[in-house]
Amino acid sequence: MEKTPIIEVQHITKRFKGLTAVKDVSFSIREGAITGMIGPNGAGKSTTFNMICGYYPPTEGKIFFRGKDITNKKAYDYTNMKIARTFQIMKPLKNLSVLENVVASCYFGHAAAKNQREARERAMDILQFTGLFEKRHVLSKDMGTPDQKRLEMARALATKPELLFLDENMAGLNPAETEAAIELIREINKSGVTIFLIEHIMQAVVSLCEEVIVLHHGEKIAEGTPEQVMNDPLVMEVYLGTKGGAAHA
Amino acid sequence: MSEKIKTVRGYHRNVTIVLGVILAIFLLIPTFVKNPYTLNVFILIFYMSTLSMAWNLLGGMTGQNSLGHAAYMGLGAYAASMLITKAHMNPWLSAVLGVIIVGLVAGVIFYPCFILKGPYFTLVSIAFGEALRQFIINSSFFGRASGIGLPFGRDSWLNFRFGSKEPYYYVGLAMVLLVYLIMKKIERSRMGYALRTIREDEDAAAAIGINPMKYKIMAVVVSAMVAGLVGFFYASYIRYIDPEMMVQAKSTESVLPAVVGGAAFVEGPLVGGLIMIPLSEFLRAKFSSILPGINMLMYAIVLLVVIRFRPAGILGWYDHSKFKTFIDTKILRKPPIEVIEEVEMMKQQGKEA
Repeated sequence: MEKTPIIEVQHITKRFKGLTAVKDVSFSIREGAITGMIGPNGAGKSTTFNMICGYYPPTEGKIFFRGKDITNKKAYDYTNMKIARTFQIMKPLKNLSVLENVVASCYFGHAAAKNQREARERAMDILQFTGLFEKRHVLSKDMGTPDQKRLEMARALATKPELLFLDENMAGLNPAETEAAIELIREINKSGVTIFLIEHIMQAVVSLCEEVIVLHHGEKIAEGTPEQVMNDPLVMEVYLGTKGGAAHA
Repeated sequence: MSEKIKTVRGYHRNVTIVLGVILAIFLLIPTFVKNPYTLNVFILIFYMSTLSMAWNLLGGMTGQNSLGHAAYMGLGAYAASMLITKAHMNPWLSAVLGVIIVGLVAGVIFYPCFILKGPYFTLVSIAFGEALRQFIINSSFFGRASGIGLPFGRDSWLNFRFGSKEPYYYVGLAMVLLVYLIMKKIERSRMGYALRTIREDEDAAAAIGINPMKYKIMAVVVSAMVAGLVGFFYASYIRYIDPEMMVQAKSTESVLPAVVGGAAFVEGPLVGGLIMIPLSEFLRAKFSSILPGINMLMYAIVLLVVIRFRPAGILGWYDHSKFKTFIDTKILRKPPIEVIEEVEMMKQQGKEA
């Protein structure tokens, strides 16, 4: 028997004044898996993402988390439900050190640290895990993009999520850094965290995801395994722009 | 290993010694300084720095720039004074009640206001201050523009009134220390991390589970309560209050020590207050008789220079200066931060074992 999906999105639509950014999109995220969402610029990926994360509610449709309606939950309720997210445009706490950034996260969410000692210990563990330990005393604004992207993940992980949303976590990284980031995401997934990610980099999506959803002009045009999606004629046409051409992005 | 523990202990001891010496100097000042004017300047430093610490919780730590702190201070002064004069309450009790009243009023008023962000919040805080002042000017219950005088009488700790300035000096000093310790405690607590996360980015705060509204209200209530406490102290010291204490310029004065000292630091208002208030008093005493207003002009120039060349404040500069490195390594003998962390870890493991 099929288990209840960890996230189930039913017919969500988002209109900004006259513009329909996302139109009647439905999909589900399987617990324990890595699910990816791709699509050309302006396809409505980030809008969909923001609706699922409670950043703003959908105009129509419903979102379920383990069968529970969370459509109108506020963004700050999510870590209590063991869901965490990162931002496409990194939002590090610029004037705090890397350690303080993560300590701040340890204080909140469903498993909030009771005191500073506990928060610091947990932050240290997470910094070790994400490879930021050596830079723990650096101000986060002084770090480069790859480390800031890692910090985004570290801060999300510090809330002990069971479901992690990654918004273009590899954009702006070079191939070696992308490889390292893919490795880290795999590690996180192995530790039992379900992952949903938006990505532009095809290499990442193909190598990481078990399921892929493709958006175009705010509508879902395909879903399935990476191979299925890549060979879908419609996807090739609208996303890759060539007929049967090589998959590059 | 034990070598490391020794250096860390030594460092902590040195810090304690330095802080102890500074505290001792402040405790001994009234023994040597008998001039009432000089003592008055110190008292002014104490309560203005405390007010600035109150502002700093909201402005520096939470990033919500308020320009209405004179109003909270005035509210505290009025609440306490009314309780003393009309209800004949003991001043200490009225201080406690007054502070609670200020907290309630600030919380209720600002609950809807925090939907506003950035400059709009600042504008509302100005409007709040002015509205409160106008209300008092037009209310005969609050003595209109002529204000309220507190009763004079024999020196008494119970009634918190003295002819000399010394007791006020010590109470003022105790107030600074108390508020400083509270602020330091807040900074290291969950609330402190929440406030700083909100300052840096509200969306990021919400993403880790911080309800920005809730913590901003908490900050405004605590900040207003401290300002109210300063108001009580001011009323008891001057023994006369009027709505003039709530004018806009006074709110601005509460911002200056924090900004000059370094708003990102809990110690910022103390450092700024210790520098700016004597400077302002000195300029007034020396120059205002030569040409009226010239003291304000010079004060403004000093302020502009600090903001132009040290925008992060004096502590913001000190934190990255060679001077700090010198003090840390040569005088306090601070070991590298990794060593301190290592020793702390060991201590915890020792406790758990």
